Formats: sequence, C-alpha cells, structure tokens
Amino acid sequence: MITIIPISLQQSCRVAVLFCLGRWQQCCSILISSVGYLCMDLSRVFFTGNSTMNLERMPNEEKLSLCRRYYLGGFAFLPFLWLVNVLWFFKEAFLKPAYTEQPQIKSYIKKSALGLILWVAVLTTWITIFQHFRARWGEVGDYLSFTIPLGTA
Amino acid sequence: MLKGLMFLCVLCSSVEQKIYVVLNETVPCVRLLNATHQIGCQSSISGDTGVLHVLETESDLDWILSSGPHPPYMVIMETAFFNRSVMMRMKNSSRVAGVAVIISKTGLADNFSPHTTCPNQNTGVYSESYGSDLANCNGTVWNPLGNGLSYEDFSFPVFALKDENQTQVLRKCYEDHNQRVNGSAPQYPLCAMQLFSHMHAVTDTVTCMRRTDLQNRFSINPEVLCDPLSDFNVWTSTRPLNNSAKGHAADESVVIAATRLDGRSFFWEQAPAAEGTVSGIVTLLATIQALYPVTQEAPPPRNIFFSFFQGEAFDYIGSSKMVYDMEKNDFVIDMNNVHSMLEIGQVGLRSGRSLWMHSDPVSRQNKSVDTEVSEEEGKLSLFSHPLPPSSFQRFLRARRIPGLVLADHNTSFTNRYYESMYDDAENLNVTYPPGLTPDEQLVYETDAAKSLAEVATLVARSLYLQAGGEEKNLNNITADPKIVNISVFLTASFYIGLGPRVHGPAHSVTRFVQYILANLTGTVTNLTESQCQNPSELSTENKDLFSYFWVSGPASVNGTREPFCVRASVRLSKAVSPAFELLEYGSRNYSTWTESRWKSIRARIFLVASRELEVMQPALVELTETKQKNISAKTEIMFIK
Repeated sequence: MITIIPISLQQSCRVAVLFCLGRWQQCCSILISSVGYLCMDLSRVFFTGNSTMNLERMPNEEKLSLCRRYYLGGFAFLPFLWLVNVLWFFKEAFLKPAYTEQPQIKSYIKKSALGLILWVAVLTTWITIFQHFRARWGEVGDYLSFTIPLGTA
Repeated sequence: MLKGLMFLCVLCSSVEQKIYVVLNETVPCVRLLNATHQIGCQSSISGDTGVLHVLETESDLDWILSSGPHPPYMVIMETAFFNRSVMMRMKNSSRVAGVAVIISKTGLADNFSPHTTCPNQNTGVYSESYGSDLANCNGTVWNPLGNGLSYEDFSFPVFALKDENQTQVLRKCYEDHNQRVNGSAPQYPLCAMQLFSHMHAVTDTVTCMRRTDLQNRFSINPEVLCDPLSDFNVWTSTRPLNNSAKGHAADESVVIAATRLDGRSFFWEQAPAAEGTVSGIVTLLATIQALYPVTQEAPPPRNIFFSFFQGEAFDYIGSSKMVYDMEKNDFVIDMNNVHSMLEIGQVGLRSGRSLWMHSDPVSRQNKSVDTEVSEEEGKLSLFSHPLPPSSFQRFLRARRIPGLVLADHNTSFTNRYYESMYDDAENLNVTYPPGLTPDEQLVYETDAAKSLAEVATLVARSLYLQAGGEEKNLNNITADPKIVNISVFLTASFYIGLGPRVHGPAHSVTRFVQYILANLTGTVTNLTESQCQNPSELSTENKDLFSYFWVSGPASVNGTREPFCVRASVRLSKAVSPAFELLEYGSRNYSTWTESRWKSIRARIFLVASRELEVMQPALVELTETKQKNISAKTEIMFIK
C-alpha cells in the first residue's frame, strides 16, 4: 500500500534542498563520465575533421589549440577531459623532440594533471567519508542517498 | 531457439532439483521494529549457508563454538537447548550461520517464556508521574520466567522445525555425512543448509518509515520497507449504540467488559496463546451468551459494552487506539460515558476455585473510585499490588475510572509459557478421553471448560450488578460449559499481523469472534441477500444501530445450505496505533511496532565440497580454456609455417 504522506511546507523545502544536494552528486558523476566522453568524440570530429585519433598527421598549431580547448573544458566540472588531455598529449609534450608549441602544450598538460589529481583527491575523500558515515548520519544520510540498501544500516 | 532455451531451462531446473532438497514446513523469525530498536532475526540477502550440526549435548556446543573444523555451522537445536544462555553464546559467536530449532515436547524445560519479565512496561499506566514506586515492575514482577529472547536482535536466521518428517530428513542427512566417527572430524562432502530470510527494514520504525516515504516520493521504483502492525477490535453492547453519532452519547452510562484478542511468540505468525488469550476470549464469549437474554428481558439501567482488543502484546495497540478515539470524540462513546471497567486477564489455570481481582492502588486513593471498586469486588481487600499488564491500564492513563482485572494469579503469572509456542492446549490442561472424533471433541465438556464457565458466570453476574440490574434476576445468569467451546480456538494463531489480508480485510480470528458474537447476540431476519447488503433502503432496518451479516447457515442433511441475514450490534473498529495517525513514529506514549517486509523466506539443504575444491575447480576450468584458446590461436602459425 503506497501512500504519499503530506508534510509541511518548511519540511518540504528542507527535503527538496537535501534531495537536490544528493542528486547533484549523481549529476556530477553522470556529467563527468558521459559528457566527457561526448566532448572527446565531438572534438575529435570537429577539430580534426575525421573520426580517427591520429595526432601524427595534425599540424602543431592544431595540436596546441586542441590541448587548450580540453584544458579549458575541464574547468566545467569535467575532470575526465583533463585525464584525456594528459593521456593523449603526454607523448607530445615530454617525449617528442622540441618544437615551438611544445612548451605551451607542456604547461597545459602539467596544469591538467594538477587539476586531475585535485579532483581525484576530493572525490576519494568525499566518497570514503560518505560510505563510512552514511548510516551514522541518519536522516541527512538518507536524503543524500540515491538508493538506500535494503536490510543494512 | 526459444524451444532450445526452454529445454535448457527444464534441464537446469531438474539439475537444481537433484542438488537441493527444499524444506517446505519451516517457520521463520522475522524482524520487528519500534521507535528505538529492532528485534528479531536477519539473514544476508543471498541466504546464510552453514554445515549442519545437531546440538544435542554440551560437547556439540563446544564443537560448534570453538573446536569444529568446518565453520560456519548451521545449528539444528534440540528443544532443551533453546534458552537464553545458549542463544546468547550463538549470537556472540562468528561461527554460527543460523539456527533451526526443533519444536517438540520432548526435552521441553519446565518453563519457557521468550517475552520480557515486565510486559509493556513503558506503555502502561505506571510511570515516573503515576505510581512511580510501582513502575517497571518494582512492585511485582509479572513474568519472572521471561528470558527476553523475543526482544533480542539476531544477525543470523532462526527457523522453527515443526514437522517431524522434515526433521527426520535433516537428521538423516546429518547422520549420513556430518557425524563424527570415533572423535575425528567428518570429511567433505558435508551436508549443509541454507536459510533465506532477508529483512528489508533496519534500525527502528522512524528510519524505516522515513526511507519508505523517500522511496515513495523520489524513487523510480518505490518499495515499502515495513508496515505498522494493525488489525481490528471487535465490540458489541447490550443496548445498540448509534455508530454514526460520534463523541459523547447522551444519557449513556457504560460498563466496559474487555479482554485481549492476540498473542505472540518468538516465531512469525505462531501464537497458540491458550492460557494467555484463549481463556479470556472464551470466558468473555460465555459471559455474553449468559448475560444477553437477561439484559433483553430485564434491561439494567446502564449499558454493557463488550470489547475484544487486538494487538495488546505490542504495547496495547487496540486499547490505545480506542482510548484515543474516545478522547478525540471519534467513537460512539467517550470517556465521560464510561462508568467502570472489568477486564478478564489470564483465567485458565485456576488452582482450585481461586480467582484474583486486581485493582489500581493509585487511583483508589481517590475515595469515590475506591467505593466503586469495593462495590465491584464485594468486599474490601488489601491494595498494595499494582495492576498486571492489561488494557485497563490504557484507560486509566486517560481517566481515573474504577475498574478491576480478573486473573488466576496473585503476584506473578501462573502461565509458565507466556507468549511462547508452547502455550497450547496441553498448557491449559485441555485433555480429551482417548477415542473421540474431532466432532465429538468439539462438544465434550472438559474440566477446563467447566472452570472457565464458572468464571464466566461470576463475571456475568458481576457485570449485571455493576450495570445496576436487580439481584433477583441473577439466578437466571449461568454460563453453559457446552458453549464454552475452546477447542476451536486452540488450533488458531493469534498473532496480530498487518492490515488487509488475502482472505478478507481482517484477521481470521477477528472475523471468527465477530461472527460468533453475531450468532450469540443477533437476530435472524428474513431479508434477501441484496437487502442484507443494503439495509438502509428499508425503513424497518437501521444501519446505524446494527450491522447485517449474510451467513451461509448450517449444513442440512442433504448437504445444502440455506443462507440468511443476521442483524446484530457487533462492530469492528480499527486497531492501529495512534502513533501512525499522528505521524509520530518515535512516540513514547503509543505503540510504534512495525513488521519488516521481505522478498522470500525459504530453506534448503544440499551437499557442499571443501573450500579449496570450490576455488580450484573454476580456476582449473579457466586454465584449460585459455590453453585451448592459445593453441587454437597458434594453429595458424603452426600450420602455415
């Protein structure tokens, strides 16, 4: 028997805020994973004109602009773009012989890596705290959760 | 392809049947929650598996808890070992995967009550502010034999084995594979049992209801985690009361005669409750049968209100709801209408002819209440004992009305199996001479029936006097032992359970009592079926004063039945704790008991191999498969070259 129990307006607002906070966590993770990949694919097609990831045949200016766009894109709460940036351009930046655009690419990669490490640290800390203390937080823990496991605290 | 799949599934289910032996006749222990705690048992979501071991001696206990080489164990517990000390040791051990208790009379201890020593101590009338020296059983411990097992929280499943044939199957499996030979450990493969009873609710009612609420509001797939315990109270009165007029009934002074309708035990839906509940129900029914004709011929000035309260084992669900409705003017009468109250407690085990009347010493300090109670009792007596756990306590919480509770015990219960699976016909000393058919047993006058009929006569006469009736009519009031038909109640289960059921809106026992009351107090009318279901269309019938039942009637000689319409003033009133109406799930004043939901409860046995073999076999299979893949990949190279 499923019944919606009416609650007061104030309690409703509080529930809504906590609910949104909880959903924000999931939104972040969904955004990060799906939009990140989407951008990756789109940018590949848009900037290089073909759908293969072949940096060899790209002129250096295009490589630099691609690197910059991924670096700037990552600030929209998309750390996966920074991860992709680092993995993709690592060889370009550090293992290839020097060319004019390389120092700039190097700095973008370093900054992307820094941002990535920061994100990983923050997410790991938050996830550890949440998983450990959710049961203890009682009401707040329940409102922040998307699915609550059955039968365990 | 579909046919192929179907064939595969048939094959897979027949393979499953070859591996597992499903145990059908098992009774689980489920999780119940209240405002602050969870009680009962829980298994993991994919069942708990353990190697079978029968607990018959102390050395078996050592084997299970410390020396056995194949933990975790699934304990088959003989009746003698189902007590607090053994269960607590199991609870604290990590080597026990679950317990299956054999329910039988062999080896049963002299007493076993899994209830607490002080039933309903927090929701009775005695508290810090009212009779504080009598609160928490400081005055009298009512259930001293109680070991509190029903109120412990176990993290492994506990099942009851009631069927002797099934227990034999388990024993055979144990003897064939698991028994120790000459003191050495048994070898793999061993017989194992898996118990599934995963409960959805956790922590307490507040958490559970909050999560249910959240699920209903925001989840795509809402799931209810727990349900409040609820059912119906049954009530009737000697003069019909207008059911649509709620609140204070003008010119009505009412004497309430009450008893409880429910019981419980450690396991789910098992509550024979013979001495605890059946004795009270049967006595009150016999009282009504004895009193009703006289009240119609020579009506006393006051109305007599008979009530059967459901859910009293769980912090007085039914009586607290009725009192709440009375105070909110949502019931046919209110507290101002109540003159006094007489409650029938446990009256089955009277030694000799003694019957004890309990009254509340705190309210008797008030002179007017005292004189009423003394009149009720017929004599003055010492009043230093508190009231035993009874529905009357909830009425006292609302208003200091005079009242008595009748019982067969003075200080602590004579019932040695209070609220347990063993409170059955044998406990009530209901025995039949050998060779009687079940039909003959139904009409046989047992000693217990005669004893209860005596109590019923006493109660009926007292009620008549209390209602202001004249003494000259008292001799006509006698309860007939043949009507005191206990045996039909002794096979029922009195657990309150949850709301609407498969076979009708109320519990079968509630319906049964309702129909018996209709039979005893109602009149047969010659209405047709459609008229019986819509009596308001007729001017001679009054739906506010009476309820109408379409019954199938007795079976005649050639097996046909002639149904007819019965008009009676018997009604059901909802028995759900006011805490759920007020949405105060953490309430300290009202019952907050809920029962968890679950997906499946089952048990099965099978043979297990050793842990090493379980790990190695899939690894071996993997290894051979990869080797095959390598060979097939290299064939190109091998053969081309």
